[in-house]
Amino acid sequence: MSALLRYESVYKAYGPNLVLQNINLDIPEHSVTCLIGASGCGKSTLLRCTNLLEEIQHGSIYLRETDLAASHKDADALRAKIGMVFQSYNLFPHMNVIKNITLAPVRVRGERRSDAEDRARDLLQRFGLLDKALEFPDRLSGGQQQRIAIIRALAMQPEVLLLDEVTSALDPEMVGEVMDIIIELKSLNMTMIMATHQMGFASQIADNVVFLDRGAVLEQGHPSSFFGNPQHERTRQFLERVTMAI
Amino acid sequence: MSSVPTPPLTEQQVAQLLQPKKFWEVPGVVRSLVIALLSTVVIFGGLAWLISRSEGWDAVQQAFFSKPDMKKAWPRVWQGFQLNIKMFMIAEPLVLTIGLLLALIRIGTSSVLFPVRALAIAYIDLFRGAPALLVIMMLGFGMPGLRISWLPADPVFWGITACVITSSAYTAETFRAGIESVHRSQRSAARSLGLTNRQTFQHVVLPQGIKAVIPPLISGFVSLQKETALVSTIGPLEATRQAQIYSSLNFNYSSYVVAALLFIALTIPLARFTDWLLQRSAKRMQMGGVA
Ligand SMILES: Nc1ncnc2c1ncn2[C@@H]1O[C@H](COP(=O)(O)OP(=O)(O)OP(=O)(O)O)[C@@H](O)[C@H]1O
Ligand SMILES: [Mg+2]
Repeated sequence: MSALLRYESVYKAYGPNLVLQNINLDIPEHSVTCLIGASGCGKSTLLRCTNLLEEIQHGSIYLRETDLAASHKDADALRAKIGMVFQSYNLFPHMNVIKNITLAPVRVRGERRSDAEDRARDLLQRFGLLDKALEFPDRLSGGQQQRIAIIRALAMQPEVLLLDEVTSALDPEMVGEVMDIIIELKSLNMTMIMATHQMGFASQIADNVVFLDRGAVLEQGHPSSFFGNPQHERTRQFLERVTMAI
Repeated sequence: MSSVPTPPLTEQQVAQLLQPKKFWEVPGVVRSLVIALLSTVVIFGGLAWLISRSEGWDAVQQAFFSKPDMKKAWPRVWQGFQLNIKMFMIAEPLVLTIGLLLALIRIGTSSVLFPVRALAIAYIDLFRGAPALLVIMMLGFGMPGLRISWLPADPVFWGITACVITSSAYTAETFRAGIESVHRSQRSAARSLGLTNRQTFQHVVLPQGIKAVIPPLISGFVSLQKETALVSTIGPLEATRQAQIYSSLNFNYSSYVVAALLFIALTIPLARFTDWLLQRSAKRMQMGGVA
């Protein structure tokens, strides 16, 4: 099976700092990949590069046959196929929920407003948030905001969803409701790449766990082997540290 | 210290706790009210007593606060004030439009537009620093002095132009501050959905940026209203000018007080409106924080 997304020898630097080095990675369609690693190891950067929010200095990122890094002209159209959800939700505070969700379908895909709103309502209904359709983000809990942010990304019917520590800013009692959506998306065969610090969740949901160390992929594997029998000393140390913290 | 545990409150007592209190039932309110009232009476009464006992008070009262003079001056000052309002109504939309345009030019990064950007920056620096009075006089006296036939000679036109020029430079900076206050992550979120740079700016960044600076924009309205009074220096018969004419004909300054009261009456509602807006946004922030 060929990969939906393929990273080939990706390098990314911020000024003099090399943040990603020689990333080679395959993301099969319908798979869930979890990125883990210490703070600052480059998880967010890798996701932002995938979504063309950052430029890479070397290498290629293929979405099917298209090299994302090389096609600057169609960057906006490509970006629309790749959904992203952020740690801090980033809902648009001046728009109500339904406007947040329909902005891109209407402006980018040229959908009729009424069609876009119908679809948005369907999505809200499915995830139990229909009663919030007309609320503004500042009237919602963090968990609700993050679920709306996920729905907003889904409304563009992306081929892959990038999730950057989407539960890290949430109070513990709200983490579950956001995880539930992600689990449901997995059951719907959504391809997802997820940066996370929650090893329990990663081992539960991931098809592949990727450990980033100082900008490089040090080790990857199915959660059972990755968590059960890590190969590298640094991986072991990292896992020990995070499990101690929990 | 009894060893018997105090019984819990009865349902009725709890219900009473939850009753909304009339504001005078809040402990301490009556006391603070009385103190505020007393100190107001003492301070303002004292001031009034001091001023009215001063040797020159009668003369000053006669010169500035003479009721008959105020009545007599009212029709022409009021008529003049309508010109102030008219100048303001014409100038303010232009100020907002040009100010926003300047801000957009200044924020842009396209290298093709560098010369335009440089001009915008020069314009803003120049007219934000120049006193409005000077610009009014230079345009009002200088432009007609050029004797270019197709240029209007009407001082009202040049007065409005001068007000627009100085205020728009100020307003441009206000808009820019607002636009730059919108967090980077908002841009990321919009771009990640596939919006172009331009769509992102138009639908996400700009509306938030403008909303953030509505209170300072309204302060700008107030300044502009008052600036229209400076236009009197180049001749138009607006309120201050009318007051001046009355005063020199009747040797009494009460007409100026009438003009001042008119300006104040117009700005107070705006000031309260700004307060209300600020309070509302503070409340929204708090709610955002709790959520
Ligand atoms: N815009 C930027 N400019 C300069 N350096 C940056 C920028 N963004 C990130 N970096 C640097 O790149 C490195 C990787 O950052 P990144 O945010 O990808 O880490 P992360 O793995 O997501 O960490 P965390 O778990 O804390 O979110 C860090 O050293 C960071 O300081
Ligand atoms: Mg991160």
